[in-house]
Amino acid sequence: MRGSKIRLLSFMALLSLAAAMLPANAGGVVITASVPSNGEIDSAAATGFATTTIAWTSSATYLTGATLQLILSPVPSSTDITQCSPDTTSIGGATATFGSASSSGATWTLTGDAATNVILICVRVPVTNAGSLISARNFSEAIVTTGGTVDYGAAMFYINGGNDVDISATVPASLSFMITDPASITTERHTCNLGVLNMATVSTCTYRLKIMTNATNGFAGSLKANHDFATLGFVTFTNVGDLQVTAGQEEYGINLTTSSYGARDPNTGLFSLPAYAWHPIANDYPVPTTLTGFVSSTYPFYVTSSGATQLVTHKASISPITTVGVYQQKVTYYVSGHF
Amino acid sequence: MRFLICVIITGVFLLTSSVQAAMTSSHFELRFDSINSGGTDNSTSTNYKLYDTLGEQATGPSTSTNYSLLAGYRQSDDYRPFLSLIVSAQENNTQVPYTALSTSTKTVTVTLATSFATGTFIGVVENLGLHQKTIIGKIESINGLVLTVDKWDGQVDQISTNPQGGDDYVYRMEAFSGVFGRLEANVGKTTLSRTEVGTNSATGYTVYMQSDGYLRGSTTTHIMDVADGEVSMDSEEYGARVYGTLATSTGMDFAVTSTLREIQTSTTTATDDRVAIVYKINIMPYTPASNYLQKVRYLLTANF
Repeated sequence: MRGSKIRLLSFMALLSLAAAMLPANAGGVVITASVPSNGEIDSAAATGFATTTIAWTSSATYLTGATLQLILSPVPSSTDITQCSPDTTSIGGATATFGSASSSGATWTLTGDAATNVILICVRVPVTNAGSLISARNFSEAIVTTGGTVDYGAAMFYINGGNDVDISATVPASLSFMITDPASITTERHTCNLGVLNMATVSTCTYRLKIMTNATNGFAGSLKANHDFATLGFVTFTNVGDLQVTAGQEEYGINLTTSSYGARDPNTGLFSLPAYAWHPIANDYPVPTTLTGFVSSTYPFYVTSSGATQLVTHKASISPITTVGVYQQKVTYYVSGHF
Repeated sequence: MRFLICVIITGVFLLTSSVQAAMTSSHFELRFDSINSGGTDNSTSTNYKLYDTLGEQATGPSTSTNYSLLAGYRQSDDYRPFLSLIVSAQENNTQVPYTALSTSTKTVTVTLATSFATGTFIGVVENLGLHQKTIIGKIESINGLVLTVDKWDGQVDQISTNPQGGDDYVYRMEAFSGVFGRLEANVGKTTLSRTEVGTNSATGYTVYMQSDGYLRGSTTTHIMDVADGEVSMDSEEYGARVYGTLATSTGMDFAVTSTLREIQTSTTTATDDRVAIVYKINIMPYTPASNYLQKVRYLLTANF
């Protein structure tokens, strides 16, 4: 008889041990700040509260009578937190009573079983003055549940950019312009001599316009001659009228070959975009005596080689009746940055 | 006798399997657990009473399938999970040279200490520029020109304790703006920020950083993000690098983008875990003129 009692009690002990080994409902859960996004409280209602919502997935069923304790750390205000209005708290389909609210937290008590689900807890955090945020920079909202299933975790809330670092930098404006030798973009040149003209050929002279700027919206270039190509006695050379200076005809004009690269591609940062020519670059035009645009870019412009400069070619040809003389003209260029 | 033993064993199992309280499993309740040394239970004075605990190891909550443990003296039913994240950036106008540095005694000697106060953070920068060495600490005391910090974090093993070259500085770090200031072509510049994390999550935490977009002057103008792992001269680049024993994403300058980037992590509790973040920039003559702005957010999540 005594042996059977021992065996019975031993069986009960083993049974208890087996029951004890069943999975417990306890553990950390991932709490996320769902309202506001990222937990960043950047504004508060004029009523003096900021609405916050945390969410997590319960590890098991929360039974009737279980409590959900919300804990703020550090306590951001001496004023009690309040229930959201309208309340968006959602506890796995169950209902819960909001109570025991204080400045440091609140407690919900379940009045029915809550199946394993996403739980949303909404509270309004007080601010010191209506419409302005509390001075504490950051705080956490934690959850500890009791009543069989013990879930716990915490999420961060950040006030007034308390988790932000604002990076700033200033790039000062720059704009440069140089008229250069056609063969060397580092050598200045301010003359363009067409030489002794003849009827058999079109005489030319060239120079380059080296324009650089970090203006966000690029630059514009324009030019203006002091007068037509003429002698000191005001004998005027005939301006080109057919878009092409031709040998054997008295014609004078200018050709502007804008660069095929040098403008900054905003997507890549490379200086791969062309300058914008105001006229087709294949044509010859009279040199204007009123201010006239000829090249522009809508992006910063940078010159590392001659290909990024604007090539200017003056052209002249004469006919048998071209008046003898020394013809001259001063051409002035203007560049403005579009910052 | 054997009967009595069986009764006791059965009773123990029955009792322990019915325990249901906060911070317990359905089988065990461990209200206090600590491997401790030093400290006293409490200390009192006229106005204050202190309950102190020293030398704890492996504190905080731990769980397994069957057990839930809150390790640490005075861990009790009133377990309150918490998280704390503080960020700040260097204040350029507090820049002062330093003449001596000790990583062992946690001191730095500055030429002027008026900008510093106990409890504030400092950043120490050796060889200011794109290849600077950086450490951070929180001032515990100031004795004349000697600032003593609680600990150093960052490039502690790489920074020289013998500053030379006239480009070694200390900054107060209590700002929320990282200001590069006025840039010049091919003069790389930096600005420093730091984190500090606290949590009683026994399984640690992770810190991420994320920007609101490019470092930009307008919707169409921005500084190019570093793409080759290093912000360097002769190219327009902007990025950041993280330093510290708990830092991740280390060993390279990375672009600060709108994609979450993990920069710091730990698998245990924290009281003052820190990393240093160095933002770096270099521009070229053609970098568009503008005032560039970017907001960088730091986000802390617990590994509860």
